[in-house]
This record gives sequence, structure tokens and C-alpha cells, in this order.
Amino acid sequence: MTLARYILRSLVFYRRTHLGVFLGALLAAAILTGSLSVGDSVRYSLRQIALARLGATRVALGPGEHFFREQLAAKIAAQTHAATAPLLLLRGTVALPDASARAENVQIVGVDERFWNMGGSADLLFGAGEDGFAANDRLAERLRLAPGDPVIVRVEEPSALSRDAPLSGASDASVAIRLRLHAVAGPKQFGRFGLQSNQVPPLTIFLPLGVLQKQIKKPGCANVLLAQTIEATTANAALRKAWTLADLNLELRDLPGGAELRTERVFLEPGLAAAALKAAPDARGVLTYLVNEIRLGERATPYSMVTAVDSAEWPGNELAINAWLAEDLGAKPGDAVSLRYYVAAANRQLVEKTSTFKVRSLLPLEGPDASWMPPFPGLADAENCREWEPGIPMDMSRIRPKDEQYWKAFRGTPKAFLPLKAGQAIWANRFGDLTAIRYTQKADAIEGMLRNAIDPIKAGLSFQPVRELALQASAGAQDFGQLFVGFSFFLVIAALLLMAMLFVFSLQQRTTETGLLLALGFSARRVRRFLLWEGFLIAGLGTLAGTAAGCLYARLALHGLSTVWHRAVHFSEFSYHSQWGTLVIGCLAGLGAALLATWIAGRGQARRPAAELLASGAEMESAPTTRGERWSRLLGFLALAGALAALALGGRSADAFFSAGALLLCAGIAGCHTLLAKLARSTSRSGIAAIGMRGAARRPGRSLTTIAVLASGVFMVVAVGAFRADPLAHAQERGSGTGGFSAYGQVTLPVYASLPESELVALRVQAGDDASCLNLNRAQQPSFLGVRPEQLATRKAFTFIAGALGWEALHQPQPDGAVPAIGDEATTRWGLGKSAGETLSCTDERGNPFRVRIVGVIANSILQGSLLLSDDDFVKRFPSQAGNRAFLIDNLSNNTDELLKSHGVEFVPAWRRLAEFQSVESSYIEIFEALGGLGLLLGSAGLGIVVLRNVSERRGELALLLALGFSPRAVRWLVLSEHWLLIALGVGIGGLSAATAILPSMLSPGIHASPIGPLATLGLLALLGGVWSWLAAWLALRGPLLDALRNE
Amino acid sequence: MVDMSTPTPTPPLLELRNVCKSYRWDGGAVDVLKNVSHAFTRGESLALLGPSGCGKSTLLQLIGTLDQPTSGQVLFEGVDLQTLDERGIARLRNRRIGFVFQLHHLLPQCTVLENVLLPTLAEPQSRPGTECTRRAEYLLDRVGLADRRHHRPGQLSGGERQRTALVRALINEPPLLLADEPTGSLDRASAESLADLLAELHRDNGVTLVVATHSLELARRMSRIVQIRDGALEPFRA
Repeated sequence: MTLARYILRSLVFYRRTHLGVFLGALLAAAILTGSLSVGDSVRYSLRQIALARLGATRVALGPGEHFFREQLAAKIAAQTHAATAPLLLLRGTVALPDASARAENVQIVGVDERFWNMGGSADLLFGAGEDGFAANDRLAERLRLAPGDPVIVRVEEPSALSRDAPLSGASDASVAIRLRLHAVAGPKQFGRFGLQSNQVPPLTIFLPLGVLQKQIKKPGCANVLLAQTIEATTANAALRKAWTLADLNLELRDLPGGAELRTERVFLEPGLAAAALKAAPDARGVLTYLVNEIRLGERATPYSMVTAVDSAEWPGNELAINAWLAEDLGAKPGDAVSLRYYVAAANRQLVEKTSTFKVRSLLPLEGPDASWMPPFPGLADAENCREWEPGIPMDMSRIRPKDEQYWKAFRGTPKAFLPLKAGQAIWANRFGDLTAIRYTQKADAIEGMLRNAIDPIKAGLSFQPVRELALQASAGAQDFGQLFVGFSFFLVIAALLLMAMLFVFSLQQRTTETGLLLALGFSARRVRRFLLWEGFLIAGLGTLAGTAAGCLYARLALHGLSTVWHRAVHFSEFSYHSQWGTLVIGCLAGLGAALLATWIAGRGQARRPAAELLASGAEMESAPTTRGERWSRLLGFLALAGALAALALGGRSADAFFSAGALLLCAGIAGCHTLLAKLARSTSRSGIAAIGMRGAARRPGRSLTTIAVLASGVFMVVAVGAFRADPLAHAQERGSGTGGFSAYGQVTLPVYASLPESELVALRVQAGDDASCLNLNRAQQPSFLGVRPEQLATRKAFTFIAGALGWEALHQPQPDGAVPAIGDEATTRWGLGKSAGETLSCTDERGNPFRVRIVGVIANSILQGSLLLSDDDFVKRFPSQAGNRAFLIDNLSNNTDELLKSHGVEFVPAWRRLAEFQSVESSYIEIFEALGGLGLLLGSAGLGIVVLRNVSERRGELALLLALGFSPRAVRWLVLSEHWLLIALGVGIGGLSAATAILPSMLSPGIHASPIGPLATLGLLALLGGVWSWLAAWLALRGPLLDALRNE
Repeated sequence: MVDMSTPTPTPPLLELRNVCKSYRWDGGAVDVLKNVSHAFTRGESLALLGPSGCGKSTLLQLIGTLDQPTSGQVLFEGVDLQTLDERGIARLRNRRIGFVFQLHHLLPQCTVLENVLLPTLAEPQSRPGTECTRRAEYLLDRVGLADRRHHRPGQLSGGERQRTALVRALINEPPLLLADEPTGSLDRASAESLADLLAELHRDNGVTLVVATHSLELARRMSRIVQIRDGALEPFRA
């Protein structure tokens, strides 16, 4: 006889009793392992999605403000010995020719065979011809496209100069391209291509690079370069060697007596200009501007070029005019002439200003010298004045025949010259303060100097480690493992409690065995060790089986995520994947929990004298003691005081909520202990129900466990369920998540026109990673919205939960130079992992880092996913993002509606957008409720087992009541009254704790939740518990009960 | 100078000195044993008689270290049991005292042989397992259960179960054997057979036997009979 043999014998003999313990351990381990495996699966799937969208790409350049030469790709490939692929990546709309279906915000990608090589796919456009395109499977499905189907693609014709800039030309230049579907690109054909971290692939069409270049009038250009080079630094080093001025849209041309650097963007970007001025000592800045009028007294000359030059060394209030202008105005030196011109004001408004200068001298007009005029869109190529389209309001009736003749003869030859500083003082804007730089040396000599002076990386041509960022984003994604452990927490606890209770039952069944071992000279510690080893073995076996079953649980959870809970993951699909480490961790966690539960259940064994154990058998537990009652009362008061303090001090923070809830639960359970003690002593009341209720006090541990399981479960399910928000509730109020707006609109082609503020709030958009809860990846570079804060402030839109200054905070400069930003709670807290006052590092469109400080947080809203910056800060960081792409809409007039429609607007009712965001949270709540409900089911099943156990232990006693003349119904009522008291206490304490704890949250502005759901849950739980106990009582009391008396 | 002619008196195996045992609760107390003093010499057999509830089992449990006196001393081989810690008490109980209960308390999951060997598990390192098994088989053979050693308790008669319990009590060769109503749940024939066996084992092994019983027939087989009356121990008067 050995210890092992004894334990083995006991395991086999009591196998039925142990089955429940085994199953409890199995369930706990399966849930823990399965939950962690869900995390593995989601991480693995997101990683696969990230890799599928990038193919072999490791680093990428763009898309940014520059359209560079396509040849750059070949040069960098040659230097790095790694594959590269140039692309044109734009946004547009795709519609069927009959307008029956349309997709907005589609990724339009111009590619050649290098792109397909990067994706490890055959060239899907091979043989497609000029009008063939490939759609990714998502777009083909959306538009129900079949090979050969025609579509109309509309895309904005890119402008080198921001369309926000004055003189940026026509604002609505878009191109419509008619194409036919040639092939569909699935996941294996690089159809998931995208540069932003999101598990949902963008809608995409691929068309030949040459075709797209031709259509948007960017021959030989690309704006994205994918490279297989491992390090971004390597790629950037290669870029520094391979770049030319054309890659930064710069043009160096020879002029008589020297050379000139200019840009098709009209204004030289300030950083570039500064570098170019330093390139050679003789560099001279030039700023040429179109003025609306030059006036002297009653005589005026319309629409003339005026140039400010560095070489004009005279006082800033003087100008030199050419002979033609002098004659036209009748001006002579000393006369004061006024210049009227447009400058850009806020919100792309043009303001006409006037400056007065004294004529210093007259310049002879020796011939045309239009070289001073930069390539103003709509002007530079115009043959005559009627063709002018400079993008500013022009009164063509003011153009006289002599003006037309001047244009024909001299084109943009400036009619006046100013000192550079004077010109910059009135015409400098955020796009630059120079239109050219002139050198005395020829272009050949200057070019090398310029290449040395200008760093293309600082100018915005820089490779980003997109693969590394993508993997970081997928690794930093919402941890579904932890989430599911959290969701399943109560289920695990219920399984463990049930397991512990069944283990205690099995030990109680063997009380005499414990007494015998003590009587035979075993020390109490040794006896406990025997029993615990037995429990540990069962728990261990259960855990091992549970670890295997965890795979099943994970698959079920993933199936749930792809079906009933698909909103939680925004319709993503995940494949099962589990790592050995996770299984081991899950197994150890399950084992630890099971062993702990077993130890807690078994540690109290063998503490009583052997004689007592031998004599009393299973009837060991006694009523609560007076001392215990005193302690429980003290504990109850302390817990209650703690809960009230937590609620008072913690406000509506989640921590305060859970602390208060847990403390209230403790207080309630301690109160139950006191109540049970009182019931045990009670003699005043009589009647079947009173006797039954007193029965609950006979085994206070068992009764308290039942109450605790029910109360905790009810608390969790009810409290969490109460946060299921109704997006329609109060949707019209400004303080709600819709901001009181009726719709949210997004346009594919930016709107440059100024729209009425009374109808909408226009937003600028800098695309980035979606930081909303719809994106499972951790946003690495969030998207930004530019807004004029006063527009939201005057409307009192949305509710601030952090940030006392409200929208005005966006105008408050930060002492450390950080850019103030406001985001909604889901974006800042979950999407970015930040709270109010914290900063995050971001990158502007030129690749320069800048810091953003969260100065305000609004309650969950339709603005989820982006950070809001003031319009001024936005344009400083993203100057090329011209126009508005998003709108918060109150009511639209027909004109505005038509204008937005012409830009491919997609309206979404604000409540629906909010509902879409809330659907994620709602799905989480659904999962929690489903798993918590299962836990409660398990808990209520435990209640049934308690009833069965109690009744079977007391069959003799109940038989006696029958023998004394009680009816079977009265006996059943006796049993039920005892257990319904436990249900009432459990459900009551749980419900009350939940209600009290969430009260501050429910009363907060911006939260609108209905009490109907939680109340229904409470009712259902009470009903379920009642049915379980009735069924158990019926099962236990059926059959000839009086036999029990005879057996006594 | 030591007087070599006078042998040193050996202490009694067990001595009770003014032992009292009371049970108390919120509402009052009941004194079961009052100043009980008695010495049990080695090798004697003693029967404790008395009506139900007089304190026989309580006294047996105090002697068997299953319970502690409210006051007074219990000395085993001259050692005050109150000076022993829990481990020392358990060791004493295992090595020096055998207990037979009215209900056999055999473990249903173990065979007869395993039940008998159960006490050897308390201190498995103290004796080799084979020696224990040999002794168990010898004792089972002596009580007529040699062919039943691999049976489960459920397959035995009441008398056989009680004989198994008796063998279990003797497995560690204790000098003191306590039996609490050992024949109380047996039929007459089985009771007589067990009484014979107890007497025989007492005689052959020289153990001190203390039997608490209602049965005068069983008591008469013991060398002394005492009874408990009003909490005090006194010689039995028929």
C-alpha cells in the first residue's frame, strides 16, 4: 500500500463524484486556453492580412505631395539590388455607365509588371490594352463586375500647386476614364494591396501606369515607390544618390546671363528655397504675383504681373514700372500708384488688398521677358487673355484690346518691379514666398550645387518602413486574447466555483474517512495532503483535457466573430492559429486556477477532531457563529463605505465603477452572512416558508457561495448590458454622439469652394491609419481632420469628457510647441492608447516629426477614428491637403447638395455612422453577455446541484415531516422557499450593486442607455434560477420519501 | 547509594489524573466526566460499562488522543499528552494505540489488505513495506480472512468487516488496543466470534485492551470491569 495507490483507488472509486470536478477544471482550462488562442488567431490573421497587402514590399515612398520621375524606381533598384515598383496611387470614384452602382473612395492604382512581381502574382493587366483594368475582389463584388464590364472611373487631376493657393488654377479639374474589367485580383493576386494599416482591404482598381499617367497629365511620373530593400535608411541613401531636381518638381533652366530655379508648384517650398538660396552665393530670390489692378488716379491697368526681386535695392515703398505701364497710367517718377491683389484668407477665401508705392523709375520695354512669370496654372499656357483661368474671380470685361495686345507681344512680362522684401511682405503665403531663384551661373554649373544643398528626404521624398509599421500595427492590435479572457472571466469563475463546490461535496461525503485517517494516526496536514493530491490530480487531468478542448472553444469563438459577432471585428475573417507557448500558458493558468480552487476547497478539511468527524458524517457544517457575524457586519460596513467613497471620488471612471461594484457586492454578501446568522437564531416566525428559509443558514458556506455566484454574475451581466447604447436616442441633440448633425458626408474629389457655414461644418482630411474601433490594428499614424473650432463651439456640438476649454483648446498654443488636438474617447483611449494631456509623435506630409497633445476628449461620437486639429495647424502640417473632403451636415440647400454630389459625396446619416461605431462596442457587450450568460447558466446549474445535495442530505428529515402529516406540496415549498431565498438574495444584491455602481455613468451627458435590457436580464435570471431549483427539488423529492425514514 | 534490591517501578501504560470533560454551548454546559483518575497496567484488559451517554466513548476518545480533556492529565507511558504537539500526538496514535470502532469505517475503495495496511501509510518510512504486508497477511490469516484479503469491504459480512478493522488496529503492534462497542452492530454469532478473537489476541499479543461496551458478555471476558456513573469511574457491581 502506497500513497499513490491509495489516491488511485480513491480516484477510481469516487469517479462519478469527481466527474464534476474534472469537468469544472476542463471548462476553466478550455476557456482560458481557447481565449488566449483567439488572441493568437487574431494576431496571426492580422499579420497575414498586413503581409498580403504589402507583398514583398518592405519600404515605401509616398504618396505625398510630390510626383517624381518613374525612372527613380529603376535607379534605386540598381543601387540597392532590390526590386522596386513605381505606382500612381490616387483616390477616385468608380461607377457603372448606367449609374446603377457606384463606389466612392476607391484606390486608383497605376501599375506596371514590377508591381505584380512585388505581389508575387502574374501580371493581371497583361494584354489588357489601353482600356483594361483589374478590380480587386472586394470592388468587383461591390459593383458585381464581370470581365468585360465597362466602368467610369473619375479621378482628380493632380495639381502641383495646392488648390488652396491663390492663383492655383481651375478648382474642379477631374478626369473621367472609361475602362473595361480585364481581371479580378484576389488575395493571392495582390488584390489586398494598401499602404494603410487596416484589416479591411480598400476598394481598388489597377490600371496600366502609362494609361493613368496620360489621363492625369503626369507622363513618366509616379507618386509611390515600393521597394524590397530591407532598411528604409538603405533606400533613403540610394534615393539621395539617384534623385534629380525634377523629382521635387523643380526646374532649372538657363536664362540669358545665368539660370533660374523654379517649380511647377509656382511657389518654392520654403525649406527647399532656403536650401537653394544657400547653394550659391549669387542666388537671388524672385517673387512674381498677378495683381488685379495698378491704378494711378482715374487710370487703371487690369491684371498685370508684378515681380519682387532681390536685386532691387531701393526703399520698400518704391517700385519701378515699365514704359508700357507708364504710358498706360500716365505715370512718372514720384507718382503714387496703388496695387490691388488677392491674398488667401482663412477657409480659402480670397481677400482683395491694396498697397501703394511711389514710382521710383521707368524701365524701358526692350522686348518680351516672360521668364519672370512662374507657371501659373491657367495663365502660363494661355494664348490670349480670354483663355485665362487663374482660379480667382476675374472681370474679363475690364480687359481692353491693348491688354490683349500686351499679352500677345510680351505675355507675362512684369509691368513693375518691387524690392523682394516689400513683395514678400504682401504676397508671402503658407506655400512659399519665392516663385524663383536666379543664379548668375549656367544651369550645368548650378545643378550639382543644388543637389548638394538640397536633402530630398527633408523635402518630403523619404522611404518609410511600411512593412515594419504594418507588423507593429498588427502586433499592437486589440488583444482579443485578453478581451476574451475578460469576456469569459465570469464563465471561468463560475466553472471554478462549481468545481470547488463539487470538490467540497466529495470531501464532505468522505468526512468519516478523514476522521478515520486522523484516528489511525495520520497528522491533519498529511490527511489534507492526501485529499488535495487527489483533487490536484483530477484538476490536472481536467486541465489537460481542457487545454485540448480550448482549441474547440477558440474555433467556436472565431466562428462567432465571423458570424453573429461580426461587427466586433468589422466583418474581418480570422483563421485559427495557436502557438505552443499560448497553449502552455493557458494550460498553466487553468491548472493554477483549478489547483487554487481545489486548495481553497480542501484546505479546511481535517481541522476538526477525529471523533467529531467520525461521529457526524456529512453533517459537519454549522450555523454562523456570533463572532463570524460580528466580523461580517464590520466587513459589510467597511465595504459599503468604500463603495460610496469610490463613487464619490472616482466619478464615471471605469476603475471607480468596478471598485464600487465589487465593494457593494462584498457588502451585500457580508450582509447575507449576517442575515443567515439571524435566520439560524430566529425563533419568532413559524410556518413552512420560515422553516425553509432557516434551512439556508444550516450550511452558510454553501448558501453564501450560491449567493455570491449569482450576485457576481448578475452584477457583471446587468452592469455591462446597461452600457448598450441606443444611437437613435437623443441623436438630434448637440450634446449627443452625432453632435446634433443630421449627416456625415465624405467626398472623393475635394471641394475647394467655400460652402455656407449655416448648412455644414467643412473638414479637411489627412488620410492616415483609422484609429477607430473599426480598425483592429493599432494606428501608427492617425488620420487628422482640420476644423475651424469656432464652428463647433458655437453649435455646442458634442460633449467634452476631458478638456475644460472645449473646442477653444485647439487655438491654445502649447508651451512645448506641440500641436493641440481633440479626439473622441474611443479614438484616444483605445485607438491610440492616450488620454487627455498626453502627447503622441506624428509625421507631417514632408516626413518631419511633430508632437500632438490631446487637449480635449469628447464622448464617443461620429468623429471617431481621427484627431481634430485647428484648420491653421492642419494646413501648416499638411499644406498640400487642399480643399475639404468631409462635412458635418445640418441642413443642405439644393445648391450645396448639388455641388457636393458633383464631387462624389457619400452621405451617411449621423445616427447610422454613430451606430456603426457603437456596433463594435455593442458586439463586445453581446459577447460578454453571451459568455457571462453561459457563466450564469453554469452558476444556476450549480444552484440546482446545491438543491439536490441539500435535499438528498435531508431526505430523512423531510420524510419525517411527511410522517408528521405535512403534505408533499408543503415539503416541496419548504425546500423551494430556502433556495428561492438564495436566488432572491443573489439576484437582488447583484442587481442593486450594478444599478448603484453605474448610476453616475448613466446620469452623465452623452450616455443614453435603456434600463429595459438589464431589467429583462434580471427577470430572466431569477426565472431561470427558480426553474432550476424547482426541477432539482422535484427530482430529489420524487419517489417514496418515507423509505428514507425507514432506512434511518 | 542506590538500593539495588528495590526494582524501579515501571509506570503504568496509561494513567488518568483528575480528568474532567465538559461540553459547553451558549446556553450552558454538561459535565460528562468528573475527576476521573485511573491507571491502566500493561497487559491488562478492561471493560467499560455504562448506559448510553454516560461517557464511555468520551473516555475512550480521551485515552485514544482523539479528544482532549477539559482539565486533568492523561499520561501515556509516563508522558503527559498535553505536552505533545499535533505531530507527536498523531505519531503516538499511529504507533502506540489501536482503535476499533462500533462502525468498522473501512474505506470502500480499498481491498481488505489495503485497509489493513492503511495505518502504515502515516509513517511509511518507519517500516519496510514488505514487513508490513507480511504482518498484515499473518494477522488476516489468524482472524480467518486470508482468502478475503483482495476483497472489497462491500463484499464482506459485518463480522468480517469488524475483524478486518481489528486487524487494522493491530497492524502497527500497538501496546494499547481500544475498542468502542466493537460488537454493537453485529449479530450474536458474529459478536461472540469477535469477542473470542479479542480475548485471544489480547492473550497472545499481550496488548492492553480497553473495551467500551453495553454487552456484559463481552465485558466478562476482560480481566477487570469498571463502570461510569455520574461522570465518575467506579468498580462494576453486578
